[in-house]
Amino acid sequence: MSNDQLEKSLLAHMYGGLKSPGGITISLTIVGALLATVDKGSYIIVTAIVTGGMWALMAMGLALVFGVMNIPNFAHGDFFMIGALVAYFVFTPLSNYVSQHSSPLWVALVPFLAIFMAAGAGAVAGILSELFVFRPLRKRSKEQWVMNSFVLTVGLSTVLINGHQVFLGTDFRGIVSYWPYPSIPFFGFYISFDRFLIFLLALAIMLGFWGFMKFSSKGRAIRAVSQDETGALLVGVHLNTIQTLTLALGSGLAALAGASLLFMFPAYPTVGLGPLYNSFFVIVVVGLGNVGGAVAGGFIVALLQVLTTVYVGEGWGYVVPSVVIVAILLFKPSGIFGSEVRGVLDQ
Amino acid sequence: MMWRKRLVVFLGSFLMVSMVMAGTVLAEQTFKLGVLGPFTGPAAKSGTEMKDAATMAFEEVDYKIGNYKIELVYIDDQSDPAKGTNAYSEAIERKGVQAGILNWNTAVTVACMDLWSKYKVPHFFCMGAGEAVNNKWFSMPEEDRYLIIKGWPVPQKMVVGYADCISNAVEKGVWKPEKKLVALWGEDTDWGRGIVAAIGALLKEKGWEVFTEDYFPLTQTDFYAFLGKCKKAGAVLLAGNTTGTASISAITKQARELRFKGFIIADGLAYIGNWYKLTGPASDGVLDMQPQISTPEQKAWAEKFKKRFGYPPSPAAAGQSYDYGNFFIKVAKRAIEKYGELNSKTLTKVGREEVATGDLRYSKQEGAIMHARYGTDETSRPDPTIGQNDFYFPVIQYKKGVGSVVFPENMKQADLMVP
Repeated sequence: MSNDQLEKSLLAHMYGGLKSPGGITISLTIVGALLATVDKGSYIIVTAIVTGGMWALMAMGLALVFGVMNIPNFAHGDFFMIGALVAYFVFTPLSNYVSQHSSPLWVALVPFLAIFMAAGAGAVAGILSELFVFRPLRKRSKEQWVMNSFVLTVGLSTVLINGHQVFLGTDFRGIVSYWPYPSIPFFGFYISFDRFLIFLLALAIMLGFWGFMKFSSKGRAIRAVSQDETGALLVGVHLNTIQTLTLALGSGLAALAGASLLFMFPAYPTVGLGPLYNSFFVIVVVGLGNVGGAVAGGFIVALLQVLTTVYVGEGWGYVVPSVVIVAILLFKPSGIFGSEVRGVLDQ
Repeated sequence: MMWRKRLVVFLGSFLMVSMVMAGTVLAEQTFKLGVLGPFTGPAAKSGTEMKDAATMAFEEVDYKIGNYKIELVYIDDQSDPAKGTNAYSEAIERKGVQAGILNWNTAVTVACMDLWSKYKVPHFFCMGAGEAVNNKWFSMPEEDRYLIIKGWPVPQKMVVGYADCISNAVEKGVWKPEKKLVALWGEDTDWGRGIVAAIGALLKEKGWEVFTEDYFPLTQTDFYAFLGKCKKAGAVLLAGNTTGTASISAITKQARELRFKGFIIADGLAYIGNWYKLTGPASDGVLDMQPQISTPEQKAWAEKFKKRFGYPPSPAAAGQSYDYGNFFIKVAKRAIEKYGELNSKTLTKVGREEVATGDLRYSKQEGAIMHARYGTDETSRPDPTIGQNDFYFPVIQYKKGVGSVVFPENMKQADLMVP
């Protein structure tokens, strides 16, 4: 293909993308954010971007599990809680030790250690859930799979929340901040060093996740299973392994989000419910199971919430986005970017 | 033959001992007292402190009042009116609760008031005390009022100190704000709206302009957009309340992260004992209204509480609950003294005849820890009487996790730190 043809092909592709519902939505979002920023101040776009990164991280895991395994995972918020708890128990003693021994390098690194250990713990919790909850259900019957698996996740959530209460009590386990550095100025607005670094981490994780799904054999296998389980089986993909890996990744991402946001969400039994609702907002808007869409959706929902707070009021933070979501679904029931979930009728 | 005689003697002795023991058991009756609070949910930390403090009060009397053995039945309302009423119904019907004390959330109080009337079970000292409770109380016929008195006044009566403190600082030239613009915030409940509206009204009387009045769920922890708009508008005072532990720590911290230059009134910041672990140095300079643990008696009590339960108590949730536990013990003793029995009826009578009229109170001289005197009077009921010799919160300002009284002047422990 010559350079001209390549250029024309790319432009056609971009034009096609912009004309699509997803493209229109993203364009409108960007325009809306810029207009509001000009009207009210730079804090709108900065807050939407930073908050959006956090919601995207949380929603990706939920979308992945939904897309590959057809499980609307109501316990996703509780993996967030597990992440927050593990991060607290790892970070607090290490941070006390490091601050007493004046080690600037370790002061900078200990939060990452806590966050990644929490992600690992979340992944292990996901693996255990797959082995002891979903795999036995799959072996028994795949009839009414979406509803049955949803009910199971509700039960799992109840067990995890009450387990936390029974064994650890109802105390709020939080931290003041991960890093003891001052806020960072951005175009006349400030954001905390923690938020800034966690945003960068979220971007890195999203990039790494995209690379894994695109270029690794396991990532391709996961995509194959999400597209056509039977087809994937026929070409030699080991379903149990992929489903275990998927749930581990989904739970790990939720736990990573919980750990990353410990400075904002202290660990307590029901801490994961708010982030769970935000994640469901995101995946419903963009299309169930659409992982790539979940990334964009995180920013879209964050901007909706910021604009609602600024123009309407803080207390309308769930109402206006819900109304917008209903309006979107009336015209595009499969979500802005299309659903990757095999419908109930396909089961 | 000998063995028969010995058998008869043994059996007879056994029978006599059993009858005596049975008599003892029968003479000691059990009274089941409900302790209502949010032991799980967004205000669980406060609820746990209330539960532990009430337990401590009854442990100190060995769970005995007269010849009644007191059994505490903990009723978890989860800060939710529907769940609270269900739990309370179950406690009455299945567990035999005959009276109740305490609670934390206004909406739960309002929902339970009908329940108490229905079952004719008296309830004392609710700390869920927004104006909706008073409105409902006054709308009920006297014979249906089974909420005897509240444990906390309506916020409108309590928050006068904030406006007076701020005005005092401005009038004396201690603080010179660029413009008198306040941003109000609070939890989206009767309680939060009551306090915030009261603070706003009082500040407006002193010449302040309200930029915004926003309410949010108890679990809200991201306030960047709200704080950003307030800072952009030039607000110099952020004033509000929430009982959500994570929420109030978050808004305080995030205001400092965004370099908010002004006073922050965070009413309820120290509702839980270990609040400083969540908020840290961001709380320096924040204004609150809380009873303090500062006298030797209060410190001794706090030390005892910490030894017993493993964490430092808060003055509001734990301290007051402990005092109300002891106040109830006094009421129960009076019921036994006056009517010879301890049950719903006698407690209701003593409650209406003596507690709600102000004849029966509980004071520092009798062992009250947090306030000079608990109780009400004819003009204040169902609220506690407010005053420096009764139920009173001074305005305190935090520095390094410790609150010092900065207003009123006659109770001042430290000068007001201005931003």
